[in-house]
Amino acid sequence: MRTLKNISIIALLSILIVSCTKTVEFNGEMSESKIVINSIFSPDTSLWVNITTSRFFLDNAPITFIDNATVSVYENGNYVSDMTHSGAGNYSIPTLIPRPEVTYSLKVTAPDKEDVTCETSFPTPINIVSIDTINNFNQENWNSYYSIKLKIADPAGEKNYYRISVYADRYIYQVDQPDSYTVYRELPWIYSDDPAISGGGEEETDIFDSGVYNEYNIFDDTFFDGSEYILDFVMDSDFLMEDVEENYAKVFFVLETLSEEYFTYLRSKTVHKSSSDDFFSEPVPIYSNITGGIGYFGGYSFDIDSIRFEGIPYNYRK
Amino acid sequence: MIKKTTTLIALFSLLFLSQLQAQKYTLSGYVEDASTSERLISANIYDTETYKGTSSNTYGFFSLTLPEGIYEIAFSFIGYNSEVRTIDLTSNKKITIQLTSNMEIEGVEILGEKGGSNLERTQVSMINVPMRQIKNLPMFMGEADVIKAIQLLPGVQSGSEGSSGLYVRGGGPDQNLILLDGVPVYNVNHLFGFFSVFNPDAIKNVSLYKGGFPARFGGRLSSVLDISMKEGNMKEFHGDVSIGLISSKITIEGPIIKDKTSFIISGRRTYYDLLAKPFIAMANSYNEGNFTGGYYFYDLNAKINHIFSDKSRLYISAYSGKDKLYTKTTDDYYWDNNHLENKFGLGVGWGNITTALRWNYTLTPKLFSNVTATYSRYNFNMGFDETDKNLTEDTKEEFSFDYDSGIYDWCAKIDFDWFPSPDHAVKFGTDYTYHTFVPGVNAYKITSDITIDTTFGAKDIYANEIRLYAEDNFSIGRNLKANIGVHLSGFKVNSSFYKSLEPRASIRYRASNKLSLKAAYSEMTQYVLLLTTSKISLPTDLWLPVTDKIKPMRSKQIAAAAVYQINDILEASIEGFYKTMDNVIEYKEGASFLSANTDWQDKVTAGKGWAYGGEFLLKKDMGKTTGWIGYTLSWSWREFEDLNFGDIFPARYDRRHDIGLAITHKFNEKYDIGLVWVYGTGNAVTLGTQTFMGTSIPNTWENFWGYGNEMTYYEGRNNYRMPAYHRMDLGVNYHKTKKRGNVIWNISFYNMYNRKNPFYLYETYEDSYSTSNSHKVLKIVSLFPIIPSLSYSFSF
Repeated sequence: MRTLKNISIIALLSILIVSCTKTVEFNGEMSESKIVINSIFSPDTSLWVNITTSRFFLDNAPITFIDNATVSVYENGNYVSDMTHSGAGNYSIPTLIPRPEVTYSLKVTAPDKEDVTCETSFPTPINIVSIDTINNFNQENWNSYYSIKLKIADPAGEKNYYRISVYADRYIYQVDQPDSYTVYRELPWIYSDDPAISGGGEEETDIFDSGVYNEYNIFDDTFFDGSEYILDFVMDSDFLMEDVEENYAKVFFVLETLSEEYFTYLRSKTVHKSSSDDFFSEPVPIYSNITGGIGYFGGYSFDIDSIRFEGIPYNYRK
Repeated sequence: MIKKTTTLIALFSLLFLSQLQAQKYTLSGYVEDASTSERLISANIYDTETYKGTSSNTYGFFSLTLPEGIYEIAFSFIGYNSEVRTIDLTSNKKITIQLTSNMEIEGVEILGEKGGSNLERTQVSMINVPMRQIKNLPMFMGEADVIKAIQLLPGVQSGSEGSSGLYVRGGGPDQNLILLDGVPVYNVNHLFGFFSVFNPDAIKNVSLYKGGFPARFGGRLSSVLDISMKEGNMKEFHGDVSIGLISSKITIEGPIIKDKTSFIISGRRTYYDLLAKPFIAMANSYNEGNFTGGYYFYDLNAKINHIFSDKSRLYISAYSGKDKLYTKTTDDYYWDNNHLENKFGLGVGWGNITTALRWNYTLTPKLFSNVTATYSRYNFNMGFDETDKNLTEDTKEEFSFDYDSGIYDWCAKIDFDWFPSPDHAVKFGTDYTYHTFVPGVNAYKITSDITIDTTFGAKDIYANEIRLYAEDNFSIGRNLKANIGVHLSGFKVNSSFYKSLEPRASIRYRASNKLSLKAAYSEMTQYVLLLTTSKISLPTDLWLPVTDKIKPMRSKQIAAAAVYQINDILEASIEGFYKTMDNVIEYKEGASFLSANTDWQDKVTAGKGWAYGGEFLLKKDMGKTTGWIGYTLSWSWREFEDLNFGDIFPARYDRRHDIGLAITHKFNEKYDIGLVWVYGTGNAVTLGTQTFMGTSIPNTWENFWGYGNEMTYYEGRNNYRMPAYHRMDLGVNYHKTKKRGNVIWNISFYNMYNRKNPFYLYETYEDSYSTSNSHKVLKIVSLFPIIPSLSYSFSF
């Protein structure tokens, strides 16, 4: 396939050698700037949205925040209250903590803009059963990584959607301040060739099954509906390398339970990004659930587990 | 399926009850060109009193059964003087009629069908394009092109600029069955689709079917392009030599045994590679390098036929064509007291080979048979090799890589033409094809301290395809004619067996001497598909079979037409069609044929499509000015569960308006001109019209650093139209008669008014991104400006 790619690029280049370019007028309908709603919330934060405007694609003007909108919030169809504006297009209800299986709706009105509405709900979290880690150190190329086995128990009789994510807090010992650590937030790189995530040749389970890299590590339960499943992935340990011996990291493994809608959004965003630089590929629209506008309003629930990893001093490599 | 079969059998049985009549005799034989003995296809043979008649088949054979009596039988064919013979039909009679050409009479061009064959024909949505007209149209880089002429017809659209792709009635480029002497040609493109593989000098007849498909055809959803090669002159030797800007052609035909055996051989080759050689040599001497490289394509057509008897004739025809792109470099140098040499070669080649062995045998005066064995191959190959030699130490390292893909078909078939009465012309037959699909095999070889010689890649796929068909073209009374048939097919691949029963029906009602009303219904099934990008045809495009996972494509089409003969030379027709297509294939969102390490089946998704529209054609086939103007108003839609969030979207080549104008005019014996003008609504492309700030996903780098959130909003797939495509071509021919033959000088201008037609569209910044003046603009890439060309041809 790489050969095909080279040939195709040679072919395309040879055609372009004889080509010329010309600026043309946009001859479609000049679409109006739209309200853009952005919000991905979870039960550990209050309900919030960020509101901006879109701009015509040939305009240079910066994207602007909408700071004078009225954002009405409904819970299962019942009006709750309007959100409070806190600057830079951000609105929230500090007292409203989103709950699973509850339908949240918004009605957004802003001067000179078409009203927009959106509605979403998210499922009950599915818990992590266990996590096992194995340290793999390859002496030949001084490569170190951890194999992670994360077990989940998938409920039967329903379609479930997941995402796995990892973040870490690194604690670096301060030599000049005994018993004191500086904490840095890190995002360890993870990769999985587990069939549930990457397909791995199991075409019926590969959610992209078109060669697209699963950037957000999303998956569904097609492969293990109603049973326990051990998800395999690897975590690079480079972030644990430090020239101070006394350091460690607390790594948080997050199993997000997604609504089908959020899964669709993440999936479309992944292929949108993947296809944007490929001449031979059709552009892919990003999913939106905003009626009359653009963007995405949705939530997810999650279960989280953490493991302490000791830091790897550089001299470990010597 | 059983119900359908029973109904059709009952219908056929009823139709043949009319055969139980009094003593009848059969007049059978062939209609030929008097000067060449080339058999004439679709010549009309009829009783001048009752107008009962028939027409000659693909091999010029006819059979007319009438009650005992004396008849004035007329034999006519467009461009030829009609002949009327008195036939005393008291027994079965055989006759070979030779018609003389009237092309040159009073300088009047006669190119098509006089007297309204289209009025008479049962067939809907079928057009014959005279080769003479194709050759008189303006040329592209000195090359007359069959496919480009076909693209000017209503209901047929080209793909992107310059492409040889055919998009017929909302269908895709792989939905056309292109037959050369009955053999499928899988890749009709040279040079990325800018030229087609058909050398006009070797072609006798071109027929396009867009709908109302006769039952004898099957295997593609949208069209059949039936191209017949010339047979070769049985009387005397003739030849044509043409020299153009990019290629030269030569055709020689003649008898091997007069009136028994003839041949035709025709070759064409481009010579940019040869022309470039002196410039490469100059560059090499300047750079002290040793580089060679180039690109060429060639076509070779050959045909031999032999008449064993008036009952038996054999044809052997072959086509071979290839494109080749190659480079070679040699470096000779010294390093660390060693004399070293490096040689590197790269080659990319692709091409078709088709061969057909056909044997005609007239079993009875009413029953004509044709047995055919064919082989068709399309092959793509890419390879490179590198050799490093240490001439001082006499050591050598070699590395080579080869990639092969293609499709190979072996086919055997038998067809029968049965003429039980003047009211019935029955065709039936069967064929079997053994397909081998090679989706891509890599061969990798290293000879060094170690030796590696390995082959890897996707496995070959083998498939068996079988077809049976029967159709009857029959008359009910004077004004009503119908062609009813059925096509059965089966396709076995891996563990799957697919089958289909496809009813076909065309009906024609002659409302008056000048008006015919027609209607047709056809179902088609397609078991092979082309994995291609929608933007450009590439030699890497892969033909693949349906699989256990990918189901056959199926279509249903209804068409209705009215044909009106305005006068003896001017014909107008209007047609409407509605076509549905199931299991059509598109790349999945985000996938393209560049996606690495992915099984092709996983890159595509199936959905449905439908197209509808109207076509208008005004045609003039006689007089000093001949040609046509066609207009198509059409819509083509697609709906895929996995694309565009399940919403319907226009097909990429959905074209609301499409106009094709092709005119030739003969001023006098010396000068004639050809003019082409095309207009088409811009292709549908996906264009984001709004930019917006997207949200970042928790626990990701985009969230961590806050980058990459400016995104593009697409209102839907194929939501925007590129600028309209239009172009005018003009060609002037100068004819001169010399002692030994005729000379034609042709000067053509492609894209006469230098329209910058869109090849593709992109957005970019007008000035440097960093300057304050920079602003985003929409640009098109255009391929062909005005291109003049000159060609010289000499025929003897």
